[in-house]
Order: sequence, then C-alpha cells, then structure tokens
Amino acid sequence: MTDSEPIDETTPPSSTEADDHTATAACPACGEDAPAGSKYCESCGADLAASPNDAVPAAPCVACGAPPQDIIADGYCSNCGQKQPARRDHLEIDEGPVAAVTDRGKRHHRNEDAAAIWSAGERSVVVVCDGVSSTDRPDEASQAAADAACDYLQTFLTSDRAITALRAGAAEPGPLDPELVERELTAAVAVAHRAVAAVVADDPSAEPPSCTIVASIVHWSPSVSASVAWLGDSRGYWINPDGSVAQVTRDHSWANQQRKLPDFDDAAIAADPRAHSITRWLGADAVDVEPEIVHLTKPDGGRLLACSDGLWNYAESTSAMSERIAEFDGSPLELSQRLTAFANDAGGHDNITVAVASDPTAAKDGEP
Amino acid sequence: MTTFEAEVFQNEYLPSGANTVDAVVTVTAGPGGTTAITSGLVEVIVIDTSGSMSEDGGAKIRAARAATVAAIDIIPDGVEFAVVSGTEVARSLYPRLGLATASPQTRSEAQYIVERVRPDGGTAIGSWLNAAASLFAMRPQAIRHCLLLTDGKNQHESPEVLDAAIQRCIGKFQCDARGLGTDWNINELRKVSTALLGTVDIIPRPEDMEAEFRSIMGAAMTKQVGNVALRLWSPKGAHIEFVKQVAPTLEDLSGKAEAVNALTNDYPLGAWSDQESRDYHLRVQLPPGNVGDERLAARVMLSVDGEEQPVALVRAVWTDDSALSTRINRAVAHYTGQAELAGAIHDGLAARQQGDEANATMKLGRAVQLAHEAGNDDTVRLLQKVVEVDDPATGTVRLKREIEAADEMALDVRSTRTVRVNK
Repeated sequence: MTDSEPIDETTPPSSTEADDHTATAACPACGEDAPAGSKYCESCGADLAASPNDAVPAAPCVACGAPPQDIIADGYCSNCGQKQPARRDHLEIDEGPVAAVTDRGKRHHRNEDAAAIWSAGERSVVVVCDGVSSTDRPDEASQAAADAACDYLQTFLTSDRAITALRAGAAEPGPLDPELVERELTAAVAVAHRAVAAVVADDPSAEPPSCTIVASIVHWSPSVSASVAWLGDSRGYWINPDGSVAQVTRDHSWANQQRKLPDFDDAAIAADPRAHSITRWLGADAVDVEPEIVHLTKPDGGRLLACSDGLWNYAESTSAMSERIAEFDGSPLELSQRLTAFANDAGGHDNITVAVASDPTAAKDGEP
Repeated sequence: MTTFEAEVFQNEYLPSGANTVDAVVTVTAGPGGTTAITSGLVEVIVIDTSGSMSEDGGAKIRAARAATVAAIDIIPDGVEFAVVSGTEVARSLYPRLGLATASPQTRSEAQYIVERVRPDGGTAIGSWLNAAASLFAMRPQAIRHCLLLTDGKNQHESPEVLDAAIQRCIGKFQCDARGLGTDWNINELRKVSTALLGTVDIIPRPEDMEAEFRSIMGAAMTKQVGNVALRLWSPKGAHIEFVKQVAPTLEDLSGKAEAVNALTNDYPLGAWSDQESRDYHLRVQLPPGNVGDERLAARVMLSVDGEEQPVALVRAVWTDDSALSTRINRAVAHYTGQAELAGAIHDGLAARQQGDEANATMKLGRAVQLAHEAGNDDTVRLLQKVVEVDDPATGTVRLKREIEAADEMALDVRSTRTVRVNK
C-alpha cells in the first residue's frame, strides 16, 4: 500500500482515463455491455456517444409499438405522441471503486437527478444533484451542477497545488488539509451554482431552475477521511465495515429548521406538508450558496454513500438505511443498483440517484 | 419565404385521470426579407350603390364616394384592383372589364368614375361576392382582398343564394365587410367575414367612413404572405375539441379543418403582414395516460404556400404532484375569460331583444365584470351605452330604457374583439 514514493501515488491520471465515466456501461438500447470508449454499440449499433438527454435510438414506441422510423427526432412517437425513454431515464456509471445509478423512478416523466463521479489513485469524488420540479429545466440544472462540481474537484485533486499540499509538512503522504478541502469544496459548489444559473441565461421568461447538491471528496490512503459538502436534502452516509450506516449530512429542510425552534412539536412538524420543502439550494434565486461541510476520519474504513431523496424517502432513519444495506458487500455498482431497485419496488415516487465510493486500494488487493 | 415563430403557453401537467389539454399558441410572422409580395396583391372594392344610399340628403353616397376615393389613393403602384358597384346586381365601375394595374393614371380614372356614381336599385350581396370572385379568379396566386360596404339588408336575393355565394368564395379571397348606419344585418355580414377570413364592423355615421376605409386598406396593402394555414398534428385517439383564434378577435376555426392526413389538419388563416402576431387557443382531449407519462397533445406547424414549417409542441405530462397540476396558465385563463365575455354579450343582447330583462341584466352584468377584470376598456365603454354600471367589480348593472340602435349594434359586432394577454 503506502510506500516511500508518494509522488507515484499521487500522479494525476492521464486525461483520457480521467474523463472516462463509461468504462463498462450497458448499451441503453439493447443492454449488451459496451467496452470503454465505444462510440457505437457493437451489438445493435446504437450511438453511445449521445448525451444523456437523448432518446434511446432505433427502438419501437414503448407505448403503441409503432416502428422505430415513426419516432420523430425530438423523441415523440408520430402515432400516439408518447415521449420515448431518454438515456437519462436510467443511467449507470461504473468506475470500479466508485459507481452511480440514476433512475427516473415510476411516477415522474423525466429524470431530474444527476450524478457525477471520479476516481483516481487514492481519491474519489462523488456528486449527486436533484433538480427542483417546480422550476424550469431542473433536469438540465442538476446535470450542469453535478458535472461542473465534479470537473472542478477533479481538476483540483490532480493539480500541483493539491499534490504539494498533500506532502506539506509530512514525510508520509496524508490526507489533505481540511481547510484546503473546505475551500475547494466551497469553490466547487460555487462553480456548480454558476452552471445552474447559466442554464436559462438565454431565456429571460423562464423560472430559474434550482437543484440540491451533495459533493464529497474521499481520501482512502493511508488513513480514510472524507469531506462532504451539501445544500438541500440530498444526503451523504458513511457505511461502516460492519454494514451499519451513519448519516453525515443534515437536510436543509423546513422540518429541520422548525426543529431548531424551542419547544417544537416533532409529530406536528413531520405531518406538515412543508416538512420536506428544502430551505437551501443552488440556482439563480438562491441567496446563499456556501455549503455546509462535514469532515470525517474513518480509521476503520468503510464506504461513502450519496443519494437523492428518491432513495432515502423509503429509508428515512439510519436504521432503516442500515437494514437496506445490511452486510451486502457487492461492488459499488451492485450496491447502487440494489438500492435503486429497492426504491423503485417501494413505489419509485421520485427520481432515484445512488452513488457509492469504496476503497480503491482495497479493491486492488482483492483482485487476483 | 416568410418564416413563422410560435410560442406555446400552457400548463402541461395533468392530474391522474384528466385528459384535457389547453394551450395558447402565439404565432408571429417573421421578417419576410426581400422576397415580399412575391405573388402580388389584388384589391377589389365593392360599394353599395342601392337606392337607400341616397338617404340623409345624399350624405351616405357622398361619404361612400369620398371614402372609396381615399381607399384608391392608398393602393400602391403595380397592385391590380377593381371597383364594383353593388345593387340587386353587381357592375364593374372601374375598369369596365377585369382588373386595372394601379398607377397615377388608373387611380385618377377610377376616382373620376367613383365620384360620379349614383345610387339606384336593391341589395344582393351574394351577387356582389360572385362578381368579386370572378375578378379574383384571374389572379389565383395573388394575395386577394375585398373591401365590401353595404348599408342595407340582403333583400333582393334569398339567404340560400347568399350562402351558396359565400361557400363558392371560401379560399378564393378574404373579405372585410362593413355595415353603414343601422339598417343592415349583423348576422349576414358576419357570415361573410367569418367564412372569408376577414373582419366585420359597423360604420355608425357616414363621416366615419373615410377613416375606416383608410385603415382597412392600410392593413390589406401590407400583407406579405397569402396562403397560410395552422397545421395541427394530434396523436391517434385524440380529439381536437376546438381551435380558436383568440387575438386580435375571437374566431372559432374548429369547423374549418381540412384533413392533411389521418392525424393532421389544416386551419386556413389567410394572409399575414410582416411581424403580425395572432393568438390561438386549442383544446385537445387525449386518451388517458398514467402518472409519469409524457405525451405530445399536438404538434403545431404552419403551412405557408404549401410548405410546412415546424414550430411548437403542446405537451401533456401526468403527475400526482398537485402543486404542478393545479397551476393556472395565465394565457389560457385570460382567453377563456375573453370567450366567456363575448358569449355573455351575445346572450345578454339576445335576452334583451326577447324582453327577458332579468337574464339580460345578469348576462350583461357578467360581461361588464369580465371586461373590467381583463382590461377590455373599449368593451366596457360600449357596454356602458347599453347598461348603467353600478359596480363593475361585481357586475352590478341596470338596463338602460332607451338605447341607440347603433350602440347596440356596435356592442354586438365588436363583442369578439379581445385584448391580448399580458404574458
């Protein structure tokens, strides 16, 4: 694991590796695994380089069965009018030690959640965003925010600045200075905020979109530490090696705001229709986008879980979430799939996004 | 080639079990560029020269002559035109045969003849329309506009003859119809203007005629593209409940659908000027959908001289989020109110004529309330000539005992004028 050559451990990966979020994604049209970097599916010829918002190509209408040529380029069936599934309705991102699944769920017409992940060497980045439905173009907002924050953190973690900081004052490589991480997470959220504001910059009549964000850096070696920044009610959890779960974030919700008041009535708060309304968010109408940040040190290791409320609404307490995870020790992708399926089986009332980061150095040890 | 733009205003979110989609579509003609008036304009002015035009000591016919002379002045060089005099038959005043090409010389020749026309004979509007149609038939590719003036009822031919003439003229030209004084029949002229994609209005006094003719001709001579239709695709199993023009005036287009294919219909819109903008309200019934489904309710296109321009989508999204499905779209609500206003005026005036004062008071009171709320100031003023308004906010009114026939007719004929929604 750790040796006396920290530079080697922290050399940034080549840019092609770093940009590759689809190492073994399944083809959205036919389900066959497509190798990393493929532009087209070798099984069915589907365009794999398409953007997440594109319709799944070359498939009959999901509602009336009209042939693929009856689907108009904007994604609607020319016979029955049904909007065809978009790639983004169910996306899986697998980078091995870090993975994410984002899913439309069963009751919403599009997926307004987004996830972005990155992993290299001993560090991982996980970002989950959840667009607010009552605004315009929340799906674009959440994707822009997740991508912007993840790109920013990736650039930071592969920069000379981060590498220098990592070595500063220590012969052994250690975790990044929490103050530096805090500054960079705050900057990443600010970049995401600007990306959200830019979504409707060309459309003065639009209601500016907004979204939540949970963004995390995990440093896995030599000791495990994580920093989690958030605005809104997308959550971060730490999964301990024994399968127990601790909630890292504290929702910025109306309910939690009420609970700060003296003599609050918890039952009344929980029953209030406003209970789940978020009080902080990213977007043009947000007054303050400085995230709340928590630092964790986890000498025993574990896994980081980030998710939207589409998951945790079905497992609101940490004990309920622990029960869902139990001692499941499948890969991060498998755990993400499992939790997404659980939320869909429970009703799939909202979009569901789950991202899991695990120790990449441990994963390497486990390989033959 | 004029390109059109369209913007859709709707609440696309439907609760579970609902299947009615309402949308307001604002259609605007983009700049036509240098190819304006590619196929030319043709103008035919039909003036009533029946015996009744000699009433008021000749004031009517003098005003009609002056107004027509002014209208001819506005016809630009190169535009083909004709002036027809209408009695129980139609007669070409100028030129004697066919169409003249406007120039300083032809305009002054036409004006010379118009200034000398004398009233005599009856009124047969169907024969006037037929005469105009045969003149327009010489230039089937042109933008064809007719200005028709009458001061009387269609007394010298049967309603069937008029209806048949109107039917023959549909799609052949557009017609703005005007009634002078109060002895003409609103329903007759409205049938003409509605079928022939024009406007109808009252000219209460002879001295108002010249300004009205100038205004009509000014608008007609700026038309740049002739053959425009609203083309609507709706999905299999859907039913288009109505398509209405809602601004600048209310016109139900539902009955004018021409099938393009099984799922697509054209609704003829006539000629458009540069930058002209009109609003349409459509209501579509869809087959039931499930929560989470998104479907197109309509694809709004324009057919411009037979060429299809895709413009906008009307969507339906089923949701169980009542915060989304209960939103009221301002444009849809505004024009629903404008349609109710026109209906209330129509019903109120009809009840008044039948002596049903209670119903007339209720309907016209509601009209005052709606017009007041929506900011139809002109309509409020017209209503105030028919009712005493005690409280516009609640629609509390009293019927006036004595009202001028011209005021009642103006209210009736202008009840379909709408104010645009403030988006």
